[in-house]
Amino acid sequence: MIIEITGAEDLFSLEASLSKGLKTPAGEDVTVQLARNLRADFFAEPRIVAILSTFAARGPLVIRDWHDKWNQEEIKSQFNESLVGVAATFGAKKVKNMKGVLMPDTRQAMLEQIAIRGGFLEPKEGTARSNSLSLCAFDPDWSEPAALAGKYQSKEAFKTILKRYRQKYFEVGQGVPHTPVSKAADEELGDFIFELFQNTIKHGRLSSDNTTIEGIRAIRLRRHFDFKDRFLARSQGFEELSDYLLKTVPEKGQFKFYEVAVFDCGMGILGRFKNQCPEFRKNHETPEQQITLINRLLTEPLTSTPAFPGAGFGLQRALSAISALDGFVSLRTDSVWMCGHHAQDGPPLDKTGLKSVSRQQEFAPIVGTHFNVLLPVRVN
Amino acid sequence: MQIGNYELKLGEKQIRILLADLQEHLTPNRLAEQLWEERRSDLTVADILIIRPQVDRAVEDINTLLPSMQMVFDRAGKLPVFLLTSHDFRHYLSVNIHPDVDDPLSEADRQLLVPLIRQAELAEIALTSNAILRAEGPTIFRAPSKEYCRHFFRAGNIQKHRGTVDVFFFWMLPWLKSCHAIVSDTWTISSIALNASRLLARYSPDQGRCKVDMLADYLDGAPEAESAADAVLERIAHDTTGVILALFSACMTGEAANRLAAIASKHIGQGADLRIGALYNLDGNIPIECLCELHKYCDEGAFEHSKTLPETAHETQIVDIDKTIYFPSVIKESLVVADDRVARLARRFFEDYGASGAFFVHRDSYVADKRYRHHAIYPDLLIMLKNDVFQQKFRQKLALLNRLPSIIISPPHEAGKELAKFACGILSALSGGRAVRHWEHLNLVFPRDPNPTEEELRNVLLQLDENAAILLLDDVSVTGSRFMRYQRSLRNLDGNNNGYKGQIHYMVGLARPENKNDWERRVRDFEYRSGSLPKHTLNSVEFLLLPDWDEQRCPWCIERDLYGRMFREREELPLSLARRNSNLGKLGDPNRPSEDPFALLPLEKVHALTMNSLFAPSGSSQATVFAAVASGLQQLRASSDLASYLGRRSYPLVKCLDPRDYLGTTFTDAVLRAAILRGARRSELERVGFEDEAHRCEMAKSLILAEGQDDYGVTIELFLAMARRKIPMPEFNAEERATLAKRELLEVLEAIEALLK
Repeated sequence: MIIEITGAEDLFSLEASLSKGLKTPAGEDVTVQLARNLRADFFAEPRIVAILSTFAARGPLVIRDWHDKWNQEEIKSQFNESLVGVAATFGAKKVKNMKGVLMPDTRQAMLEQIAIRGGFLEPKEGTARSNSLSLCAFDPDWSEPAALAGKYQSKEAFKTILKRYRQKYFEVGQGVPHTPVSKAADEELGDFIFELFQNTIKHGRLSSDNTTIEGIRAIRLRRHFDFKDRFLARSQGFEELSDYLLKTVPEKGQFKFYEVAVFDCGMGILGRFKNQCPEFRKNHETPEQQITLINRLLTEPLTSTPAFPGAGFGLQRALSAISALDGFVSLRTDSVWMCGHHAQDGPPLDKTGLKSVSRQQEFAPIVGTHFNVLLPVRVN
Repeated sequence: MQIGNYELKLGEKQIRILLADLQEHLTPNRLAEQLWEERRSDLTVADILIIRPQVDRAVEDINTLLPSMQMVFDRAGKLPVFLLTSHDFRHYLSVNIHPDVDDPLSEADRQLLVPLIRQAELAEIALTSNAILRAEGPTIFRAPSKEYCRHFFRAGNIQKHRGTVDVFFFWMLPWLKSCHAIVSDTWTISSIALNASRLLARYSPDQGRCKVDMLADYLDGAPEAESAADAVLERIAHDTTGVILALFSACMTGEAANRLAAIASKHIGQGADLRIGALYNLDGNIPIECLCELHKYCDEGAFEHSKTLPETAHETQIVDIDKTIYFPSVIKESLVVADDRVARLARRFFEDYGASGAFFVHRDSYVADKRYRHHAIYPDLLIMLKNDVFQQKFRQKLALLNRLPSIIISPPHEAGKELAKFACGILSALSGGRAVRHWEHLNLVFPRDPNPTEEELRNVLLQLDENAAILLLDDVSVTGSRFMRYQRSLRNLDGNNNGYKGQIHYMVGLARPENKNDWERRVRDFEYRSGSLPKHTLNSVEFLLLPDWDEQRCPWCIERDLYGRMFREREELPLSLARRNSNLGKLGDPNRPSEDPFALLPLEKVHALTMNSLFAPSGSSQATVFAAVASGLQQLRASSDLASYLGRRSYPLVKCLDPRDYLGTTFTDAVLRAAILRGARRSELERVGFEDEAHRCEMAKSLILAEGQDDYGVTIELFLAMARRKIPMPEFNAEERATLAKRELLEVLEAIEALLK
């Protein structure tokens, strides 16, 4: 089975590719023919990572590069530094070019290079700042990126360091003073990234018997700076997102968004919760029931540790922070795809929860939990 | 974040409070999150949480603060929450503001509690800040008053950080009403006086200026000191009305205060009053208002002074406390040798359990499946329970209980479950087949709407009479706070002071206090039961002194932080350290007990103890060796024998480990060297003299550049110790750097050097 990912696909086409690939008979390779220059559509690259990870978890994954010859520079920029390329190299049994020649770099060498860089992908400084920045952990062997060493447990320390990296590698000029991110918004941004990334550590990397699952966990920031009509084009048939963009982006002038992805390749938010709380295994099998349960997890202190007072507020805090930032959030896990944003004058997301994506399409089961958030960047 | 944790005696009942400061830079939400992240274990054992809003703001109506407190309530869980505020220079403790929890305190309780909190908080500051200098062994202090004493209180040391001086402002508030001048008895507490003046302007802007001045010398009756004080008082009393506060750091006899009052009387004019207050009272019989009766928190007579040299002290060296800098005029260093005495007490323990792999380092403990706290040293009782010796001892301890329990209660964790299962079997057999029921509960605090299991447990406990017995069982006890929490809860199970009436057997798999005296005191306290009924019991199956280190002091957490700092310094990390950083995350993983905690070379070799080690049997894991060495060092810290005492650095007597033990030829196993380097504090390794430090530096360098891998195998550990300033960093010339480069260590050295620059 060969799946082509050219960069022209919208999110729904990518989902169709996932369904197609998962129909491959057990034991057979899934070959993904992967373009190098993917389009900057909202949420697309992290979704490709999710799909590649799902294929890798299913069985042998082969990546086929669109080029005939291997070029060291291009290998570096595509397979050692871009999130999609790194996910491909990490998950694949083989990475070949169009002529079937294996990529000379090994997965181990790639992991070591990323470890030396502290877990960062695409960090750039000065005039050559990147449009995206990822911070990756690779379980089980490289699960602690040095860039976050010692900063996992404390929210304040995590937020401080994340802000420093964001300003250094990602912002234009000197960071906050030159970029319209208010201090309060910066706090909220750090809050939800911390909460979601904590969830990847506490749950997203663990199997049913609490051993570590092989996979990528990451925080990814991407910058989008464009006009309204082009933003709408980038939402590619994702109606809820289009509605949000219509309401949020002014008619005139350029506008700026941060796209934030926090994901893991574990059992998925539902799978892990039901594993920890067997009493929820029954009556939560249909997509509707699953959505109800996810919303309870997002809006109530429903926790896998009910005997511990004060537990179970992390996801609520994350949604509260996204609401405060007027953000749009998408959650893809298992066979569920949900989204939402804080309607003007309406209750915040941590009260309403998320809704199922309205597109009449069944979604194949995907590994992990994938939060994608779009945040308008403006001065408060 | 500034949080205090105090066990207070409120009338007949004990109460454990968490006091959290809502400082200027914090919102209630951030405070709640920090409490949750950093003090989660304390939240489960405290009785009440007290939030103190910004101290420089008078709070007239606490309702204005309540809307922002929801996250505090969420994270506090079942804990009642109170506000400690002030208004019009008076302190107030609010009623419980947590809407989902009943108020456990009466009006009278709240009034009693405020001074108790003040005492406990200020005593804690004094006791944890090196303010009490101890003349150990054959030395005695001659204080600025010319009197002799074994303990000298250097009040200036209490000013550890901004938060501390703000705390003093808060408790000084009743003295500051209408106060327009503060004169401190010594410059060493001038930060407290200046801060009080500054915050007073915010607290009561209409009150007007508050001048500050300070005495330069101790008022010992010397004419120079009196004339200098005279000038200060003249200056500060000039045109001052209202209260002039004479702020004393500490009072012992009150003589200096009397002298000051006499001098002040010459200068204070109409409309002004002198008010004398002391931060600390060291004796108890002085007619001066004091914020904290510190003598009650120290050994009896600790601060006793005598005008003549005590009869028994004529052979001792007299150390003068300089009357202007309030510090000993000489420092005396002596070396402690880690000999057989160090390991003797724990040797049997490690002979029995050393090979079982029961010890882990850098591991989190979980209660109710929630991360509870971090432990630098983590004994896994699930593994110890499989050991025949442990089972045998456990059986014996259970058989010795004078009344067999019918119920076992343990915290909800795996080890508790397994220990309880084992105990149920033994107790059932001992009682002729009677069923023994096991319950799990975190703290026996029952919410308003308990679930059916909780309700049943509470009812069962309430129905048991005074002839009943229950067993409270935990895997490990460090401070005893979990049992204390159970104990307090059992006294009041339904909120109406109806409690469990029977006998309580407290049993722990491993007692691991930092000090043997702490444990013995705990045994006395827990065994107390009024009347003629059989006493309660507190037993441990095993006992071991160990340091209680959380994230702040865990050597592996500190190592991980170093890597983070190195990365941020250089934008990359040497591959070997990046790998090491990642491997640190696996150290505490019970599924990977073979991970080596020490960074010894070559990294792929299994480093183990050689035969006949003083600390642990050959074949013990590195984590076990570390536990054994850490236990030995803790033994030295808690020692009552001055020759081997390695406690808190207490000038003028400075004790440190003999460097020959870890850099010389005493312990040559790389594993032992590494264990000492990690297990000893900086102050326990660092020498006072410059030349001694230079010698230590040379010894370390010799090991690093040695030919044999047995010696240079400890290089990375030495580099890490240098990064923590436990050992001075040597200079390496080009040739030496080439040697390190051959061993693939140059990058590591350069990363450490960059960090130290």
